[in-house]
Amino acid sequence: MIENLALFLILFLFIIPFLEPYVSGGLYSNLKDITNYSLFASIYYILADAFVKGTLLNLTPGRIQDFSIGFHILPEAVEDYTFYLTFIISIAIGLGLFLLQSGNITPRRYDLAIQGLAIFAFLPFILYFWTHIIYLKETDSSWLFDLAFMEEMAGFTLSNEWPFATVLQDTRWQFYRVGLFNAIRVVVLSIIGCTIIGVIVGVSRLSRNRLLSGLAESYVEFFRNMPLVVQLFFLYTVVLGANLPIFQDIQENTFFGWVYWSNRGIVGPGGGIENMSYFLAAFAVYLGARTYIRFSERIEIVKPVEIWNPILLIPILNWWPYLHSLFSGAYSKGNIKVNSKFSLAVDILFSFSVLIVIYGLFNAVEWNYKISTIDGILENEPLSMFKLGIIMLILSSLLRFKFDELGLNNFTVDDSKEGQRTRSMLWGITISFMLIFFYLAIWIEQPVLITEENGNQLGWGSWDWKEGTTNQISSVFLSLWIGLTLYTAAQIAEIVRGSIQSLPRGQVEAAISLGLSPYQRLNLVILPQALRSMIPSMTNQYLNCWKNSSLAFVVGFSDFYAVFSTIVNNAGQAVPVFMMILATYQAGSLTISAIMNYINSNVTKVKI
Amino acid sequence: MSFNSIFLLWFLFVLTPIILKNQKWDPNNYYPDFSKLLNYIFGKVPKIKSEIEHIVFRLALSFAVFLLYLSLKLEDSDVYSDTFLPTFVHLLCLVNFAYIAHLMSDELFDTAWNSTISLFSFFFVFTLISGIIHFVLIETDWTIIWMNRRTLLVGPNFISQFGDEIWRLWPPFYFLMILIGAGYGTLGEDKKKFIVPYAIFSLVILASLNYNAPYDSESKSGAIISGPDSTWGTTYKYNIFDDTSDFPEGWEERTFDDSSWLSGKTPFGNNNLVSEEKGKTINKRTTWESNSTDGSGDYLIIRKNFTIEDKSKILGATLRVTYPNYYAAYLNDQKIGDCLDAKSSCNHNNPDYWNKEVDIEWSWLDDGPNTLILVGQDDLTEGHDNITWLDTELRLKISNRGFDASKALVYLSGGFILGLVAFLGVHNYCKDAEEYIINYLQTILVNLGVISFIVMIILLDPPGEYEDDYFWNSDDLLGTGVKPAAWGGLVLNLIFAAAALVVGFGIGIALAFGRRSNLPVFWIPSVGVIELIRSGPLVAWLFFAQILVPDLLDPVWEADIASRVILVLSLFFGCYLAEVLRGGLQAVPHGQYEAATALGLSPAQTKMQIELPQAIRTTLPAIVSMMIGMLKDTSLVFFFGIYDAFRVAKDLPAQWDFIGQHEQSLLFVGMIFWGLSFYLSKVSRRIEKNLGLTHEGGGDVT
Repeated sequence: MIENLALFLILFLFIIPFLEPYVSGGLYSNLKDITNYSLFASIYYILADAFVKGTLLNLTPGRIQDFSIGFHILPEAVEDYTFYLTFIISIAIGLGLFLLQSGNITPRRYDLAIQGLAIFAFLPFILYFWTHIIYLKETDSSWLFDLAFMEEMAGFTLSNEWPFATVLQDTRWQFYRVGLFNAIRVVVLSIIGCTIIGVIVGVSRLSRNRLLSGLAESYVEFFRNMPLVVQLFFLYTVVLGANLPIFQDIQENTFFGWVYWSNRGIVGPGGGIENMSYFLAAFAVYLGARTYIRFSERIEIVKPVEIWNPILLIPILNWWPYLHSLFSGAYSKGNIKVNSKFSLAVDILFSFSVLIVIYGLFNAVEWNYKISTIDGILENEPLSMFKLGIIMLILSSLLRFKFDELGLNNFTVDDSKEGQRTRSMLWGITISFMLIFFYLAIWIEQPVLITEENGNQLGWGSWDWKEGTTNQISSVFLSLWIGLTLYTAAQIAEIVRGSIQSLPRGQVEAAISLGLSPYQRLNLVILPQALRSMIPSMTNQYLNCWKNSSLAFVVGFSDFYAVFSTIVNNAGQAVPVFMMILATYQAGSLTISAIMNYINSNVTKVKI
Repeated sequence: MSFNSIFLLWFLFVLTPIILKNQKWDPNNYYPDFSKLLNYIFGKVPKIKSEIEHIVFRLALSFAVFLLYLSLKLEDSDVYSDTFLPTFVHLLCLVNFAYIAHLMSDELFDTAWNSTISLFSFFFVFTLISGIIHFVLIETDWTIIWMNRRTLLVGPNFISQFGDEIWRLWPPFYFLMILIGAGYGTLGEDKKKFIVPYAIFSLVILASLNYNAPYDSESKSGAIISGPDSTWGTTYKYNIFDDTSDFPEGWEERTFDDSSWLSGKTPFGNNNLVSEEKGKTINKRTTWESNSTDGSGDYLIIRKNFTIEDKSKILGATLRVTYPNYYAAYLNDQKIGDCLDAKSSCNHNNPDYWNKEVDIEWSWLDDGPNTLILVGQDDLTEGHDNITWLDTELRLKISNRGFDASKALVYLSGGFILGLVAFLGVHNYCKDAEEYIINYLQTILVNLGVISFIVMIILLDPPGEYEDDYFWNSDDLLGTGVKPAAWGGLVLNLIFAAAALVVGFGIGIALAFGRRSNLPVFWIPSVGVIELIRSGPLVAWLFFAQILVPDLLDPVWEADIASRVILVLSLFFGCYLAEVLRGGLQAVPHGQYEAATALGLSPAQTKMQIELPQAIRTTLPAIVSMMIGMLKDTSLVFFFGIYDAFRVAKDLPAQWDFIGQHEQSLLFVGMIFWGLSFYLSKVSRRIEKNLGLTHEGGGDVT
C-alpha cells in the first residue's frame, strides 16, 4: 500500500510538469501548491484504493450469489487489479483536473467535463456501496428490506402507553403507534409550553427593569449553554427523582386528597366521560352559537362574476353564477351579490366534522381494539368514522381558508350597547348550557390508595391505586416535558429578543408618542411586527424540539425511538427500523413545517 | 426573606400609595411609596460622584452577596446558629440590597408597575442566589469531584494500575497552550485582555491540581482489578501431600523455600504438565492421583508470592477461591479464612465460578513481598483419577485517586508558561506588523493546529495491532497506546468536537457549493445528502454509526466506535453548516462573482477565494453557535459505552463512597459544558461586534 502510494505520487508529481507546455498557466507555482496537490492526491488514492479493493472483493466468486455480470474476479487477482485500477483512475483524474485548470475550454465544455470527471472520481465509491449493499442484503438478515417483522409479536412491554393499551401479544406496529403517540404528545405540549415561556422571557429580556432583564438573561444563558442530555438526566435523577418525596410518604403529599405527588409522578383524580351524548352536546352548543353569530355578523359582498367564478370549487362550471343567482337573488351587470348561505353550510360542515373528530378522539381506544371472535386474537379495526371526520375537518378547513381568501368571511361587529348586550347574553347562555352539559357528561373520582389487603397492612412497595380512580402523569414524562420545554424556551426567547430588536426604533417611539401604554405597545405594535421575522426561526426551533424528543431514552420514556431501539435488539432488522425512524422524523418535520408555513403565510399576508 | 415579607412590602409601599392617591386621601403624597421610602432611609448617605458610581454599585453588590453567604454559613454552624448573629448579618445583607435598590431607584421603582416587577423579581433573585450559595458552598460535599477530577478529565482508562498513560496527553497540552497563546497574540488586542483571564485560569487549574480534599474513607470503589490472565489461571507454586505430617517445616512462613515445588497455572495443573513428584502423578488439567494408603486426607498446597510497591495506594483486597472441598487460606503467616463446605461443580463453565470470597483487611498486607497460601484437602482414592479444581484470584483495589501532584504541577506550569511566552512573542511581533503578515501567521497557526491534532492522535494511539480486547495491555505498554474507544473524559469531548469541526467544515463547504451548483451531478447528491442527514436527529445517526456503519465499511475500514462517531458527527455538522453557508453564499453580491470571472480567476478560485470568505464572514455567528451546539451534542456519545465526560459523571455516583450523589457530578459536568459554551458564545459576540455585524434597534419594552 505505502509503496504503491509512493509510486503513484512520484508519477503524479513528475509527469504533470511535462504537460506544462500544452496548457496555459502553471500548476506548481510554489511549494504550497505541490504540497496541497500531493496531499489531496494521496488522500484520494488511499480512499480509492480501499474502495476499489472492496468492490473487487465483492465481485469474487461466492460473495454475491445473485449477480449475473458474466465474469468473476479470482481472489488471487484482487490485489493486482486494485493496484492497476486505482492507479489508472487516480492518474486520469489528476490529469483531467489539471487540464481543466488550464482554462483552455469553453464554459459549456468545462461543465460537461467536470461532471464527467466527478462521476469518474466517485465511481469506486458508488460501485462499492452498490455491490456491498447487494451483498449485505443477501447475507445479513439485518439488511433485509422487509417489514414483515413488524407484524410479529413484540415481546416486551411498555410503561407509558396512554391512551392505547398494549399487551405482550401485540404486534410491533401497535408498539410503534404507542411510541409515536407518546412522542407527539410530549412534543406538542413542549411546543405550547416553550412558546409561552419563550415569549415571556424574550420580552422580559428587553425590559427596562434591569432586575427582570437580568433574570431573563440568566435563564436564557443557563439553559441554552447546558447540554440537553445533562438537563434531562438531572431533571430525571435529581429534581424529580431525589428531591420529590418518596412514594412511601405519598399520603402526606396531597392537595386535599385530590392530587398526590411523589417521585413516581403526579396522581390526579380519576375521571372520564360518562355520557358521550351530553359531552358532544356541550360542544354542539358552542359550535352552534359560533355558527349562528358568524352567520348573523357576516357581510354580504358583491363580486364581479369573472373573478370569483373560476376559483371556487369547480373551475370548469360556467353555469355556476347562474345557479348561484337562484340562491342569491341578485344578478345584474356582471356583478353578483354573494349571500352567506354557502359560508353557513361550510361552517355547519366544519362544526359537524369537529364533533365527529372529538367523538373519535375520545373513543379511539375502543375503536382501535376488537377481539376477534374467531381466534381470540386482538386485532385492529379501521377507524372509519374517525378517518371520515378527519377528512371532513380538513376539507371544511380548506374551504374555510378559501372563503377567507375570497372575502366571504368578513364580519361586522355591532359595537353599540344593544349589540353588546345581545352578544354577551348569547354567550352567557351558551356557556351555562355547556357547563351543565359537561357536568352531566363527566364523572370524577378521588384517588384511592390501597394500603391494606384483607385487613393486613401492606408494605409500601405493594401499595397501589384503586383501578379507575386515578389519572397519573409519570415522572419520566414530566421530566422530558419540562426539560424540552425549558431548553427550547431559552432558544425561543433569543429569537423573540432578536426579532424585537431588529424592528426599527421608530416604531416604538411612534407608539410612545401616540400615548400607548407599555402593554398596548407590546401587544399592538411590537409583537405583531416581530412575529413576521420570528416565525421562520421558530419553525426551526420546533423542528429541533421534535428531533430532540429522541432523547426520551435518557429518562426512560418510551417514544418511538426508544421503542425502535428495543425492536432492533429483539428483531435484529436494523436497516428497515432505521429507515422507519428517519421516515417518521421526516414526516413529523414536514407536518410542523407545513403548519408553520401556513401560519407564516397568514402573518405575512399583510404587506408593510 | 420570605414571600410574605415581600408581599407585605408590596402592599404597604406599592399598593397603598396608589389607593391613597386614587381616592384623593393623600393628595400631597405624604405617604411614601417605595422609592421615597428608600430615599428616607438612605437620603442622608452622601452622594457619590457619578464617575465611580458603578464601582460603588459593584462593591455594594459583592458585599451584599458576601454577607448573604456569611449569614447562611453562620446559620449552618453549630456555634452561632442559636444566637442572634445570623439574623443580624441577614438583616445587614438586606440593608445592603436596599442600598443598591436606592442607587438604582430611578430604574427600578419609578412606577408602581415597575416597583411590583422589581420587588417580586428581587424575591426570585434573592431566593435563587441564596439557594445557589447554600447548595454550592455550604450544603454540598464536592469530594466526589475532587477525588475523580482526573477521571472526569481523561476518562477511566488512561489511569490504570499498569502505569499512567497520562504522559501521552502532555505533548498535546503543550501544543494546545502554544496555539492558544499564539492565536490570541495575532489578534493584536490589549495585553491585559488575555493575560488576566489566562492567569486566573492557570492559577485555578494549578490550585485544583494540588488540592487534596480531606478524604479518609475506606474506599471500595475506583478499584482496578488484577484478575486472571487471559488464559486460564494465574501462575502459582504447588505441591501435594498425603497428610499433615508431610507438611514441610515453616510452610506458612514467607521465607519458606518453595523452589523445589512445581509451578503452573491454576486451575491446578492446567498447563498440560505431566510430572512425577513424591510418588504422586499430576496429570493433565484437573486429574490428580494419590498414592496414599488410607485413601483420605490428601492435601494440596499452593503458594503465590507477590510484591506491593506502595501500600498506601491499596484500598483493600479480596481473595476469591473456587474449590470443591475443604480449604484454608493464609496470608503472611496468618490464617485469613477457610471453608468447610463441600461445593459442587467447580469448573470454568459454571456461572458461579468463584464459590468463596474472603475480604482481606488492609493491615494484613505488607509493603514489599507478600505470600498467599492456599491449602486444599481432598479424600483421594488410591489408584483412581480424582478430578479437582482449585483456582484463586487476588483482587487488589488500588487507588487511582490520590496521586503525586508535584510532577504534574511542574508539567502544567510549564505548559502555562509556554502559552504565555508564545502569546507575548507573537503579540510583540504582531503589534506593528502588516496585516498580510498577521494573516499569514494565522494560516500557519491553523495548519499547525491540524498537524498537532494528527500528532496527538498518533501519540495517543500509535498504529499497531492489539493482542486482545483489553483496553490496555500490560505486556507491551509503550507500543500500544490507548485505543480510541478507551479515551474518555472531557478531553474526548474536545477531541470529538475538534475533529468533527475540521472534517465537518470540509464536508459543509463541499455540500454548500454542491447545492448551489447548476450541474445536476453536483446538486442532486448534495441536496440528497443534506436532506437525508437533516431529516433525523443526531441520536438516530449515532445509532447508524453504531450498528450499520461497521456493516457498510466492513472490508474497507474496520473503524472503531470513536472514528465512526467522529464520521457521523462531522457529516451531521457538515450538513447543517452547508445550509448556513448556502444562506451566506446567496448573500454574496453577484458582482463579486462577475468581477472575479472578469479577472480571469478559475471557478475553483472564485469559489474558495472570493465567495467563501465573504459567506463565512456574514454567517460567522451562526457557525459559532452551531459549533457550540456540536460541543454540547458530543455528550450524546455516552450511549455507546464511550466514557465521555457526561458518561463519567453519570457513573461516578455508582462508586461506593458517593452513592446517589448525582447532583454534584451532573451539575459539575453540566457547568463545564456550560462554561465552554458560554465562553465561545461570548467570543462569537465579540467577533460579531468587531466585524460590524450587529444591528442595534428595537426598544424598551417594559
